[in-house]
Amino acid sequence: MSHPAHRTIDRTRLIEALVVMAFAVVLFAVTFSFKKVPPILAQGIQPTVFPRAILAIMFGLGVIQAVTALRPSAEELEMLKPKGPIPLIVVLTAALLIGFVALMPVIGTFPALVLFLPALSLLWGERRWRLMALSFAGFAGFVYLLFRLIMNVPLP
Amino acid sequence: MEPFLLVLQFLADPYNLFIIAAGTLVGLIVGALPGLGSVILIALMLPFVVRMDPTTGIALCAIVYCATTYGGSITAILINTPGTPAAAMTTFDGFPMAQKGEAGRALGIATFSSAIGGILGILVMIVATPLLARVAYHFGPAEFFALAVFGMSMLASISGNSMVKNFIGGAFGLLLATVGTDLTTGIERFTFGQADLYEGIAVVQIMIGIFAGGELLRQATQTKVKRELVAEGVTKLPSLQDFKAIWRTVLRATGIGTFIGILPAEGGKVAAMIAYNEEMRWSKHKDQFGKGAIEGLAAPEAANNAATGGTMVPTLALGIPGGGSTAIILTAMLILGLRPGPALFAEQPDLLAGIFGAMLGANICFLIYGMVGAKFFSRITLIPTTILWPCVICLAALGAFSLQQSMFDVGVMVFFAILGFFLNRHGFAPAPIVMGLILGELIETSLKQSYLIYDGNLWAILQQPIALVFLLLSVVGICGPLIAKALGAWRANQAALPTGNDE
Repeated sequence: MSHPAHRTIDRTRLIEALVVMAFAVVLFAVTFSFKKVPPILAQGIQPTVFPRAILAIMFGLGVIQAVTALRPSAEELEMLKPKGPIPLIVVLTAALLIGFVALMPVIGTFPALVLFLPALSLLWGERRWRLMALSFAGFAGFVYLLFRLIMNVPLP
Repeated sequence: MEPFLLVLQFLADPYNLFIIAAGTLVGLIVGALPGLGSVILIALMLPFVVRMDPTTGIALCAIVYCATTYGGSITAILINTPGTPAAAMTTFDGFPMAQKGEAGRALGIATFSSAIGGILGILVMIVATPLLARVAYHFGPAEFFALAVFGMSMLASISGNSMVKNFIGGAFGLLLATVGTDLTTGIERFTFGQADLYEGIAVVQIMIGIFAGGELLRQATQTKVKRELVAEGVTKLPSLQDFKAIWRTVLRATGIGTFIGILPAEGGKVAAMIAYNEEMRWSKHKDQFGKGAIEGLAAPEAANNAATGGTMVPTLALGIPGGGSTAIILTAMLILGLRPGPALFAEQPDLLAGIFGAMLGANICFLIYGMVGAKFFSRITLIPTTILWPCVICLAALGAFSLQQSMFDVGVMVFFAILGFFLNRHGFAPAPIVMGLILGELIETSLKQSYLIYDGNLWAILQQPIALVFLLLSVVGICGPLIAKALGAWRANQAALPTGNDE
């Protein structure tokens, strides 16, 4: 149980910096898998040059971030707030969204909508069934009108 | 005179007037809904806009951009929740006025200041955009490279975020822009064998995901927030005395808003903040600020609406987005086959007149809506998020699908929704990523062209006067905030030092 003000390292920022640096290193390594082209076709600049330059800058920014995380100013230390875990409701909302997208091509857009809309609403604490039924039925009708009839999009 | 005549011609068409009236209504409704705003609305509209006639589609984007900016002030005044980030400063004096029983007066002042700021900002835009575009006629690859670098350098001064994190976000956006087949060599980059990535990563789906999807996950943490109206929103016309008190404020704030808007990467939020601070500095009764000072309400409203015109100037004249909303409008233009810049003025004068006319019309239209319908718009804020957001995210997913009828695109949207949430949680704002994504192609292409033109000597870019000016401005843009911070710390240290008198 250490008070944030007593810490000398901003751990969250350090981890963020390490993630950025690792991301840049991994993608830099990936650029070696790009095919090489003869200089005449590359017009002087190989397709790896620009991505590598960006990744090098990104790595450098990660280093700056890490250095500042190791030596945070007194003002920054004051403002340090420990980040709690991601709330369960966010995880479940993301899971529902992934489920909706996965279900769309399997059972069809409108059955997936019928499952997803009330499920998310219920997850977020809505219990007014009549309001939900009316709103979501209206929304499904709006989607049909807009995408199928007006835009003629073949929804899954 | 010709641009003004074309604008009047656009405004004389009943169909265009209908689009202005309908677009402004939608923009006001969405602007009044906390969490939604112009960026999310325009991102959601993209799949529909790209199917429209280019003039109507881009004009519609411009209309909702203006209307949402004003719409955010209604909730800021009546429920102390800014509908859009640009309206955050409006809460400082707008809400105290509503609490004191002056909600109608506050809404009236906000409406008039917004409309006057917005209209003056657009008039500046009508004059400045062709002038800037004329300068851009002299631009070659070196100048465009330097200009795009200048645009990226402005990420340093986006307020409220860490400069380094903004640049990391911008670099990430630039990297995303390299995904797909390199146009010069035909070599695949970062496609990982995915055929869906050969033509590059879907920009629209990224924007929908990162803005709308990211916000959905953020809203999930705020489902218990209850909103209450402190007063009914019946707008009252400002009195002559109010006009006399705020006309200088409105003019000053309009100037600030337009100028800040023109700077790449800055927008209404920063404009409102600076205008408020400046107004407080100039005011004779500073103590009233934060307690319901009408100047404190008029300044941010005039500034954030003037900024909408300002942000369109670099977007249309140079193809450098002035902010998040204009970045999406720029994307819509590119998808519709329009290349912003000098050529646009020569080849598409009707399109430009459409954009100018639509924005002008939207400002007049929201003045009317604001005067008669504030009560209705204030009630919209009470729509439960538990009903609204499930619908918004479904619309986002279906919109992402509809562009190419591809489930892969929907997957991209969901991936960026989750990534957007994580990045936001760790202080990486979405706007720099979008800036990088949009400017990436321009930077790489102009760099390659410069390399060819100057025979492999990239230092030659520095010998081009316009390019040199932009690169120097970039250095100032990056170093300016650092120097200001260091100076602030030094002054604070000096003030803290014990003086001889203390003994």
